[in-house]
Amino acid sequence: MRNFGYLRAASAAEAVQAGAAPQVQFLAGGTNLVDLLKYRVEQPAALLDINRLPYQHIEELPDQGLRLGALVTNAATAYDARVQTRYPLLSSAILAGASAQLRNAATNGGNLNQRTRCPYFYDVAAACNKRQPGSGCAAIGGHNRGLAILGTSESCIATFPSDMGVALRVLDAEVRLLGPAGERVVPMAEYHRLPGAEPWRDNNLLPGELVTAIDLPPAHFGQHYTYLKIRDRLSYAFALVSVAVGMRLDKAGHIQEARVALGGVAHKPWREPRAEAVLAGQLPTAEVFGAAADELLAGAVGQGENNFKLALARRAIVRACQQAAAGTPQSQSDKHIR
Amino acid sequence: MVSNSPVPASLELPPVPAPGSPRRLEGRDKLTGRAQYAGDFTSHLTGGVLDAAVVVTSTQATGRILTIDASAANKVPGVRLVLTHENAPRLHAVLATNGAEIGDLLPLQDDKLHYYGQAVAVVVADTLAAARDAAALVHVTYSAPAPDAAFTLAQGRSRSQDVKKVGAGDPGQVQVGHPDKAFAAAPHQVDLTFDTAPHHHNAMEPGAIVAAWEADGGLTVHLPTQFSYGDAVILGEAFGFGLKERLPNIVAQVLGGIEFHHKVRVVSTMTGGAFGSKNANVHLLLAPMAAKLTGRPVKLVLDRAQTFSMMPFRGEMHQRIRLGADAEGRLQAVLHDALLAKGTAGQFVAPIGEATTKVYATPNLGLHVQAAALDTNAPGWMRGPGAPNGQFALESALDTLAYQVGLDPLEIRLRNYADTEPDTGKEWSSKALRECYAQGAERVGWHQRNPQVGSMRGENGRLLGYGMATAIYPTLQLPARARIVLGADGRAVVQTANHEIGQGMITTFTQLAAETLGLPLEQVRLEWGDTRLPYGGMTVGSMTTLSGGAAIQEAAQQVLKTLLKRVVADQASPLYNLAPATLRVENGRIMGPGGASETVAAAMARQPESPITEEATTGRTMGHSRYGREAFGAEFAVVSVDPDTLHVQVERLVGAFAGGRILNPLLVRSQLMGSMVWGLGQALLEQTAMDERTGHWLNDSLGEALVPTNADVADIDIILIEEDDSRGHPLGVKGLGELGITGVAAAIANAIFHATGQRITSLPITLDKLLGTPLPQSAAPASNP
Ligand SMILES: Cc1cc2nc3c(=O)[nH]c(=O)nc-3n(C[C@H](O)[C@H](O)[C@H](O)COP(=O)(O)OP(=O)(O)OC[C@H]3O[C@@H](n4cnc5c(N)ncnc54)[C@H](O)[C@@H]3O)c2cc1C
Ligand code: SF4
Repeated sequence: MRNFGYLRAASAAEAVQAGAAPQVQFLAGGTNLVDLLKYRVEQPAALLDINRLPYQHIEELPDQGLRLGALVTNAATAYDARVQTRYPLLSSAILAGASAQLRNAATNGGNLNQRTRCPYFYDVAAACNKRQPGSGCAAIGGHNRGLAILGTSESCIATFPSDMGVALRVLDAEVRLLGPAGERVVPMAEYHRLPGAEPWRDNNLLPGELVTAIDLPPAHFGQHYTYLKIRDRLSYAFALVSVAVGMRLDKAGHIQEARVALGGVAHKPWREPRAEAVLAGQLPTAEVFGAAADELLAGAVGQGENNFKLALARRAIVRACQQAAAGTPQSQSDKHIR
Repeated sequence: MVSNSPVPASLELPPVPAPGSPRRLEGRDKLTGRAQYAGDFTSHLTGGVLDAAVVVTSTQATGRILTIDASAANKVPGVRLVLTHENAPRLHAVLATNGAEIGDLLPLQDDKLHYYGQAVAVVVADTLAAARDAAALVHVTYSAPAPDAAFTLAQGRSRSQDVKKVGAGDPGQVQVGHPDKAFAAAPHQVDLTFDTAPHHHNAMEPGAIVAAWEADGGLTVHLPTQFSYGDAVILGEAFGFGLKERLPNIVAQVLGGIEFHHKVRVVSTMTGGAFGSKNANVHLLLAPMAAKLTGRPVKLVLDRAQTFSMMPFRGEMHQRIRLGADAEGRLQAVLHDALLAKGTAGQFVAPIGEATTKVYATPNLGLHVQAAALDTNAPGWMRGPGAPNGQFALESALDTLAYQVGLDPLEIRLRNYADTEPDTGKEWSSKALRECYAQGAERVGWHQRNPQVGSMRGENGRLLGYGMATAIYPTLQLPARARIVLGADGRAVVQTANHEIGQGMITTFTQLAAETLGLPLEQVRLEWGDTRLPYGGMTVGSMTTLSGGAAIQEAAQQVLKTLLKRVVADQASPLYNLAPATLRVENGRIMGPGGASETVAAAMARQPESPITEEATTGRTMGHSRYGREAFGAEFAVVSVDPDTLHVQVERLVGAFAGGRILNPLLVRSQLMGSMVWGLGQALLEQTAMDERTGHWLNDSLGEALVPTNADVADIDIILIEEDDSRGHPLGVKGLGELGITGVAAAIANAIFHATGQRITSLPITLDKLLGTPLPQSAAPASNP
């Protein structure tokens, strides 16, 4: 690890001011950033510790939504009684991620801003456009079993690895930002970027901008939801494919509204309005879910080792929709896919 | 090391689950962090100074080092040395008895690259932070890599060569009868090929070493190892010590019972997981090289990624099994061809056929092992070391044969039961495998299952399957020596340079000595893991108890004999003049006929100036026996497979094992269970991904190299079946550490077949492999959009 400066922000204003300087990075739980320092993937001149800023609470919003402070830990969020009863999908997705120890340290703001797990991104000897713009992409034609099948570009095929983010996407959460130019709010749909020609930009944060909170709109999907995470081992592993589903059914059992997002397959949580349109008004059947899956996966291409994700994602979408429709969400404590 | 804490009385702990199972004597030290591993060393243990060393590894596999620029590194405050091939001490050739890489390739001797992740420099600094910092600033340039480099068997197939000797000297080529002809003529034939992925040890403790040169030119190193004397010999050879420091010390002890002072001392107090990975490692040489130049003690701990390229692993293996059987499913021919990866340096080739040649009766048997030297670091010993892969192939093929012939998989194994050792015709020393099959089958409910493939359903439509395989592991013994000193206080000190690698050696040896001497456990103390102690042999091959235990038992018997002689000749003893044969010692008390007795302590206290010291050396014939000696078991798996996501859940594992006499059921159970968990990992998870363009191991971290978590591990049931193996070994014990892993991958693969009808012939069985072909009544096949 190279020596670096360490600053502790006393106020949000101070943080965004200092954070706007090049080579300064915010430090939250450190579960991702400190690893990146050790691997020399990140070599900031200074870390700006934001852990004492006043974003430590989960608060009610006037519209009956919830505001999740950026510095609330993933564990505290997942186990918060309001989140558990009103947004069980979010709670479930968080608990599907990482390990108990990591979730105790990781923060909501950090989770949204975690970097990809592409093996070449971590290997400073390898070509990687995300780490070193213009150096190339070793994952294309390399070991890409875990990487993206949707929204890839010629310069990067990485995925955004968060579980929490997939649920936030289904919930239509909004990300609250504070920057040198003031506050703004970005919907989850627009927060993360596709790699395009600038894969080093994971998201649309501007220099110095700080995530202060994540706003959840009024509760949805308390009954018909699931977070189904498919991975090689049942705990402490990133998703090969994950599916977050929220549904509302009418009394006759028709789907009034369905939202489906995928994790582990793209540079951002993947949602497709056309897929959801296929579901609206339909009875929940495997055929309908399959048709929605095909829409959701339209344009997907394998990169070689990860070709299997195309078939796997389709199966997972169908299964997750079935779980949600039946009101039998995937358990994250038992973990076994039953 | 000399344990400075007395043997803890069992305190407030709940009772042990089985009689004869003292808990781990070092358990509390480990739990509380008091146990001292080499990586824990601080300067107060090395005379006030302890520098930190960090290895710099190559980022290219082939070609040459053109330049190493250490100028920036040298400027980091606190840096004392950047050791490279340009300034490193020249080493003398060494003999690595385990075939390790250093036998062919000494580190930092020239500019040639052999693999990605090879040590190219070592940075020594006052602090670890400075050393790490500087290590990243060492700038190395390389010549162009070789255009024909090969990192996988697919790339290196043209390098295949027949191997004469595999493992520790087993034959690589075996022919009994006429296997090819018999196969061709057999009415039932199975011909399958198998591929198994490389995977790494990932012991919790990485490679680590503390090296200090003494004023008299001697060298002391502390490191986790499985062979302290062997490492000492290697150091003696490499650094040009005199004759004594080389093999002669071992030979003199083993053959003549003579110990002499050795200027190289290797101390190995605690080894945090070994399983074949900690023996004659590259870092053994690197730290003393660095310390020699700085003149100060050095501590070197590999980082996790470096354990992937600087320590051995289970290499990639390709196998073909051909089975020919008669109409009743009796094997007429077994042909096992294997192509194994090895390093361009290092001699190790896994004994892939060790089970094939011993497990089933067949009149015609062929083993043909080839190896291809790849441009990677050298594969090496790893729990099993050949049997888990060999058995995966053989037992999968046998399962296939069973379905082809229409036999129950258990029945086909009984039909081919080997009543004598298949390749030699020797009688077995003991073999209770039939009971293992019967009890294991009973426990798992084998006969209650529906044998029809794809017929069973579990919860939520999951496909259920049952599979089984035979477990087998050779029973071996190596030379070892032990000394026991019974002191005036009636306490015994047992000395032997064996190693605690997590298997429970301290407990087993203490227990064995106490039982033989008739002393309570608290009155016996073991000293281990130090070349100042008698030669303890290698802690490998599930032989610890067989090798070291035999020496301890013999020494203890001699002590007992001397003690009894002494008391019957001692007029002050209440046992005076009794016949020694009528006395017995129990719980620290010597008892004669008619109620006469006294404590061992009382008897010894009368002659405080003459403790009783006895030594014994055993295993000189390397356990050579006129009997076939193998430990056997039957392993059963129940799996469920999700028909949509193809997730395989192992629901249950049952292992029934016959391992001779069970000294400590608690420890044996935990060994077998650990082994079975590893087998589960091998079956479903473990693989190290290689970048086939550069030769770099990519998932070289505990986060990315997947081993089973609690959620993945099934209910594990272990049944121990006692055997009388006294004609096989003086203690009647067999090797049990590795037995447990040998049949697990096959049992799981066979269960997956029973559940799904899919015969997956490559490990690990990840869901992408199962996605390949349709399942019984599966969900609609996915279209590729
Ligand atoms: C072994 C391992 C396994 C894991 N498995 C999973 C998994 O299965 N699923 C999953 O979802 N995650 C997983 N994670 C990732 C984990 O969720 C993230 O590391 C964590 O959420 C990051 O949060 P943090 O507070 O520690 O962020 P930090 O490490 O402190 O920061 C991460 C990044 O976010 C930036 N940042 C932090 N806070 C803010 C803010 N408020 N505003 C702007 N930028 C900010 C930092 O500058 C940095 O670039 C795993 C991590 C590890 C190490
Ligand atoms: S996929 Fe993206 S992160 Fe991975 S190597 Fe290519 S550019 Fe880098």
